Amino acid sequence: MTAPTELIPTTSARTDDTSAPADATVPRRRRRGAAAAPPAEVLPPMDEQPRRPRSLSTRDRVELVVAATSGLMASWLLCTVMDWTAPLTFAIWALIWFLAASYLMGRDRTSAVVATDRMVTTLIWVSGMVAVAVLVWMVGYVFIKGIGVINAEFFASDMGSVGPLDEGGGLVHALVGTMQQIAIATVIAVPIAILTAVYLHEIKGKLSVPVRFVVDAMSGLPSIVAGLIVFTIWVNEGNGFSGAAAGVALSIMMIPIVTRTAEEILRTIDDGLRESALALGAPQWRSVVQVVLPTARSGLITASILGVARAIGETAPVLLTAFGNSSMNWNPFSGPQSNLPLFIWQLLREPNDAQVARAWGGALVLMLLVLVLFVIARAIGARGDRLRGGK
Amino acid sequence: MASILTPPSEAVDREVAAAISGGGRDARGLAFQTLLLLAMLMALGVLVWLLYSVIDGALPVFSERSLGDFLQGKLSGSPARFGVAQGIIGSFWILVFVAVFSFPLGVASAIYLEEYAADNRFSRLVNVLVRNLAGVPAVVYGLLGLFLFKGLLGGLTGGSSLISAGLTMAILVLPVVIITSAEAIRAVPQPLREGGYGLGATRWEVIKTQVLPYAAPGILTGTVLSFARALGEAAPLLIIGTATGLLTASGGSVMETLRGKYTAMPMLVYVATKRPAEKWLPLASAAALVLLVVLLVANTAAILARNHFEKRRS
Repeated sequence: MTAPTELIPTTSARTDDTSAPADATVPRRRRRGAAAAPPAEVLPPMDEQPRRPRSLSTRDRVELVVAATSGLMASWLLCTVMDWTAPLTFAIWALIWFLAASYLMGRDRTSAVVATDRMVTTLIWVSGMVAVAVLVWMVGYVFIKGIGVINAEFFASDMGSVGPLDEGGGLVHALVGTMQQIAIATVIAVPIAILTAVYLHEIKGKLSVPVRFVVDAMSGLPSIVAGLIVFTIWVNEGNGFSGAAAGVALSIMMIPIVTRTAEEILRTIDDGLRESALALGAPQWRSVVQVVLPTARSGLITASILGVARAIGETAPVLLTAFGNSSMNWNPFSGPQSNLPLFIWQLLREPNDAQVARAWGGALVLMLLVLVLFVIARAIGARGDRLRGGK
Repeated sequence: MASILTPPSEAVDREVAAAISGGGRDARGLAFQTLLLLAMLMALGVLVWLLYSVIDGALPVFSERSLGDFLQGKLSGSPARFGVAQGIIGSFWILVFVAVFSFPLGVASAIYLEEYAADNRFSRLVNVLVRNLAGVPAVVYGLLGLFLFKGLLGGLTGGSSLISAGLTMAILVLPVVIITSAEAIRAVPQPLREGGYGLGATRWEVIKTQVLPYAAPGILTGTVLSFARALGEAAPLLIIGTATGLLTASGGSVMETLRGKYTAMPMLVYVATKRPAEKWLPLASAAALVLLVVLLVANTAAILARNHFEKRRS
């Protein structure tokens, strides 16, 4: 009845004859001993025999199938009687019934502890699948909705002279804006962040504690507040919207992320390297500049890319600083400029399917850009690990 | 023997250091330290400057009106009556959605990934996917919220409602919750689990009595991060849409509130910046200040809870 593999080999004294030969791990002499054991009728029933934990016996499987079938039927009945049509309602009631039925059957045969374990396993499995399914579905949905408008022209033209109902149009103005703004933000944020991380981890001066607190506090800063501040003291003071203002707002978002990641990277550098440099008579700055930073280089690049990936998708701060623009603006220092999130946001507000389709195309481009950045960051990080490990 | 064990005097120290560095003062070392200090002061300065400009911008509001008046005021077209009460309520409800949906689902997924899933190609793929999804821009989540909750399920959610906003935020922070919880669970020492199994506990008993209590501080930290994100994120709300002009309280049941129009703290900041600056900009700063204080309170509460669990662990 029970598959032999479900028996624990080393306790084969309690197993019946049919399973013993299948256990390759059992020494031959003991197997003979088992053969000489009392006849099968005297053995305890199958359910009391030792079993591998977490394995399912045939009877367990039958119970699960019975519970699942009865759950589906009961839920269908309930939904028909109550006239509920939503598939979600059906799924939830089926799950509840399944959990209750399998718990009760399990408790009846084994114990409450085992039945609870099995029920929780199901619950955790279902929640894991639901969460993963939601996230996978999201990527797939953006891809399907966005792929339709992606063609060469989409990357070659702007929306300046494209009427809402016209064919064509594209996001090149948004791409240029994104690149200029991100470049400005990177130039401001990355040096500050990496030097701060070096101070925090290499110098470990008196200011480390308050600065670490400040960095933590900044990483919780709502992005719209970063935008508001640049708006208040720069844009609204007569300078007007510009890509550079957006770059400054984005750099505020980038600094904490890059600092924290860079500090983590510096923490992984072997202390032996630093000590070797110091033992050779190098002052601390030389040990940092010539030993620590080159060793950490790939990790620091990864940290910067993660910061860029975060900043590239921020909408609220750029809305208050770059404002958005439907045509190309090459100059990031004057006049409203677009970028990818603003491109999506502006087109989405128009009551017109063609514009909304372009917004989905923009979302797909933005999402792919971020994913590519992540993949690059991961690849560089992995190469750095290999280089360090190979030494 | 004793001469090795006693620490050398500072004079000897200096002499050795001078001999190594060639006798001269380490000018470049000093320059390096100064550079680092400057960079760090800039990072420090940015935050101080942020706080200063928010507080400075908000001062006119609080000098003209009492704090209570601003906190109890409602969304309004008149700057003299504009207040943040409805924004606080809306943000609170969004947090409730995050707590009810993302937290259990995210922690359960983390438990699944770390404790149940076999280390095969599928679980590795899921891990990579979840990690990348944490970086997907908020505006994309907003787009999905718009089409799923406002469009497809509009009849159920009531369109631009608290339900739509709350569920979108819940999905937005889900990857963050999963990643941080999974990290915390991975950090639980293996012997704790093995001890549990050795005593005959089932897997769930081991998770409940060993893994989760040990990982609780880390999981809570992740929750703090996700709550902060959900409180401050404006992009999905911008896209799903909130009330911008007048918002009359429906005053009905909880379900009616959830299906009704809403606004949230970051949206109030945005709404105020879109109006004529001289009267409204101080209000935007004041709303931002309230948002920062709410965040601070939420973070402090979570940190206190984390410390409580950490104390219990040790």
